[in-house]
Amino acid sequence: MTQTSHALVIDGLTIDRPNGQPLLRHTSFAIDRAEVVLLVGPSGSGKSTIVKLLGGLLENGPGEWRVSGHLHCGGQPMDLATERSPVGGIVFQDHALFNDLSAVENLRIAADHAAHPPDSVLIADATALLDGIEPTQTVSSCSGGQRQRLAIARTLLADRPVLLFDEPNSGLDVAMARRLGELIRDLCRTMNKPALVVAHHVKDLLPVADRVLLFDTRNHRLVEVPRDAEAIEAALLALDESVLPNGGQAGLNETGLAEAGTLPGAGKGRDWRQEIGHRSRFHWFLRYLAEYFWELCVSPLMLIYMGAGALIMGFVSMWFGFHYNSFGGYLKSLLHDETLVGLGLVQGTVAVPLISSILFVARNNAIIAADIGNRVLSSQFSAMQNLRITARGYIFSAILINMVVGSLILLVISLGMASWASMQTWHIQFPMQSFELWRSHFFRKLLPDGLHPAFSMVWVLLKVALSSLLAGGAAIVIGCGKKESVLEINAAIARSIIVGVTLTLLVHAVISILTL
Amino acid sequence: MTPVNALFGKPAAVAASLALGALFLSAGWATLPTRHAAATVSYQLAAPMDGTPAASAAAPAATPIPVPVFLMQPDHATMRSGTGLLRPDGRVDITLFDPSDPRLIHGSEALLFNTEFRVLWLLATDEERARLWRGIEEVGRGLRTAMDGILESPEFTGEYRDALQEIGRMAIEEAWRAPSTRATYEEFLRSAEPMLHDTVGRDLKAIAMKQVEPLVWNLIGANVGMALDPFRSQSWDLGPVDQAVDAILREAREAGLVNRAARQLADSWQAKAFLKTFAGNVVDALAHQQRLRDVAGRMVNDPRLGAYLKPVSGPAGDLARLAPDLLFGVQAGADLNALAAHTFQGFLTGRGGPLIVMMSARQREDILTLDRYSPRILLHAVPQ
Repeated sequence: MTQTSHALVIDGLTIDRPNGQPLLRHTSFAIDRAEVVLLVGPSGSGKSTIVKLLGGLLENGPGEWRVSGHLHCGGQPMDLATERSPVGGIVFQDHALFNDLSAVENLRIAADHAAHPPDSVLIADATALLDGIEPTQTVSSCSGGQRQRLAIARTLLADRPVLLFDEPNSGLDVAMARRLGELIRDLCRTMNKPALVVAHHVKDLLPVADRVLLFDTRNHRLVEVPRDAEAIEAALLALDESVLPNGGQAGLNETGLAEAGTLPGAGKGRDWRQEIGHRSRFHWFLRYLAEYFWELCVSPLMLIYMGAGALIMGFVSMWFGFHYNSFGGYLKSLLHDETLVGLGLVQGTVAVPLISSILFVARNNAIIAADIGNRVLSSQFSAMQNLRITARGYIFSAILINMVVGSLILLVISLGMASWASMQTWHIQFPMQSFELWRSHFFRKLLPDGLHPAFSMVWVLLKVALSSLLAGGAAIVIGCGKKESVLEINAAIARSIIVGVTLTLLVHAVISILTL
Repeated sequence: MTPVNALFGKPAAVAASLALGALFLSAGWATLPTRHAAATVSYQLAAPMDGTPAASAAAPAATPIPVPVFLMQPDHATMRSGTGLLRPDGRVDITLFDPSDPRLIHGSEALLFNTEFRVLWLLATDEERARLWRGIEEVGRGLRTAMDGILESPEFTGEYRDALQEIGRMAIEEAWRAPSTRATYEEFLRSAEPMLHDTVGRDLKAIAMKQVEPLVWNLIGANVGMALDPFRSQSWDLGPVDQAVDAILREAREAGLVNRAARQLADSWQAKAFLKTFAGNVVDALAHQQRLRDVAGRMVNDPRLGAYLKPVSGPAGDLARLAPDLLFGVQAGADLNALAAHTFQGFLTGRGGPLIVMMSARQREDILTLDRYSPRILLHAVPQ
């Protein structure tokens, strides 16, 4: 197979599933520049696996998929058995937009992590799709069609040699699906890039396709078939009896594509070009750091939640510390000073740090597990990987840093609130005494000179920071597990709370005992 | 949408977080101890009163030391009201917790004490001290009754008395033979002779001389017949001599001559040294006697003797309940006895140190009436 005239050449591709079953055997195919190729096949045949392979997302190795064959793109040969393909930019079936970023940020992050900064022509081509979308619009406020165009624009800005569409017409009605097909075709022609479109329902996209490849699941090959809908459906039926011809397309009543009503070059791209600009990776690191700092540490609800916990802790320890039955009569007086010293020490080094950590970890582990789980379920991590965005560098590190920093900040706030609650509770019990008496005894062990903390507070910081770090790590690991439904996210949330709180209790207990 | 919106949501949420954070931190900050506050009032330690033993009062240390300051209210309830700094030159700078506290009007005067339970006794009200005395007297009476019962009991006389008497006698003999006892006794005798000589030479001579003249005439009158009859074989009538001696003794007793001499002897340091040495040697001798330990051990564990302690157990129990309640307890109208807490803490840790109690002039005089020596008076000084 000649390689010079083709944009993409796959030669001798063999893929085995993780369970050892063959998916493809010695398959070769090529795609020309600006060519739109439809890849059709029965459900579960492995079409998306081809997309993942070309997008560099297929896990290859022992216990994973096994791949062999060669890829040629832009004159660069590649051994698929040992290298990940960098050629395909994927438009995911569920768009996989980063819903914590605004519309323009979804584009910015893709552009900033492209192998080469996108030129103005590329930006113009990509942003021409975004008519009707405000740059600062949140992803959740975009319609389905707008999200699809946003996802395509984001993939274009990644500037990969091949565009890969994973069932882009899924869930669209006929008119919208045909408009989408036209959009893809025009993009390919304008940008002179090939597109491989995986489609389960082919009728709407056939008019724009240059060729059609059929996934032959019996012989484990890709076979080129005529651009004839009936022939394709007959072939699909022959491969999979369960396939319903052209059925089940539930229109979403979405108007995103219809609203656009335009093709590349017809949109208002100027504002978007100015908005996208260029930002360093450090900017994105700070961006995620700030996002999680807000969510995990200093949102108003978080502060109220932690403050209330500390308030109750301070009240309970002081109220019951002095109202215990054996503290009646003169003993209450005799033991007052030492009781205050003891309560201050226990509250400052054990009780408040523990309660603060448990509240912090329980709440944040739920958020982290839900956030990460949602990113896994909606393929956001896959999209990040495809866009060369390092999730660990941004999201994981931002979470862990904020878990440590936030736990310490909120510990200080909790200690302050608990102390205040203790002081007020004490004054309710001893209204004739001066607050200064409470201050001089309560902080005797914690602040020996009245301002600088005792060395023992280093251990307090250590156990709070370490427990939060471990719990945050556990939440990330649990959140990153395989997710195929919301129920699995729910289970992950519960699991991460239990594991996080258990780790917190263990860390606090061990360090407290060791530093007694 | 601004960058702040994109990152943190609505500006109202950001403002709420900032406000909450500031609120919580300021609440925490308000709980921190006050540091480097200026002195509110200054005192100067007055010179010790005449006859005050130097060690009985708190003396300024070589370096400034922090001293807790208490305020005694009209009902004698004490509350912690500040912190003082006792400087080596005797100056005391006091920083009050709340200088605007109206209760400080009762604290114009100040006394410096050592932290010891005696302070609680001195600061108690008259009624509380009277109740405690009554309790102590009840215990004393009960103890005497119990001891009488024990000493007269057949169990004691039959099994323990002889042994204890023997032990006591041996201890006294051993103590008397001790060289230190002998040395102090000799010293005592040497000092006693001049004192007796002085007493006899001055007071007793005057009394005796007053009886001599009647004695002469009485002797003459009684023996004049016999003096005129040289053959009479009867002896001389010396009755007037006996009468004169009786009269001299009677008059010396009525004049307190013996008592005065005995008191003079007892007041001498030689007598005190002798008695202290002798008593100490007796106790040492008793302490070294294994036999005493055996007997005492048997007595303590003898259930028959325990029955005789009933008269003291009731009053002792009452006193054990009453004393802590009065000295350490919380007075009516107060919520805490901070002085008792501080004293108790000093007792437990052994690091009491001095303390200052501010009070009214009347209360200060009452305390000084009870004890002129252990409290040190603080005089008002000009604040620096």
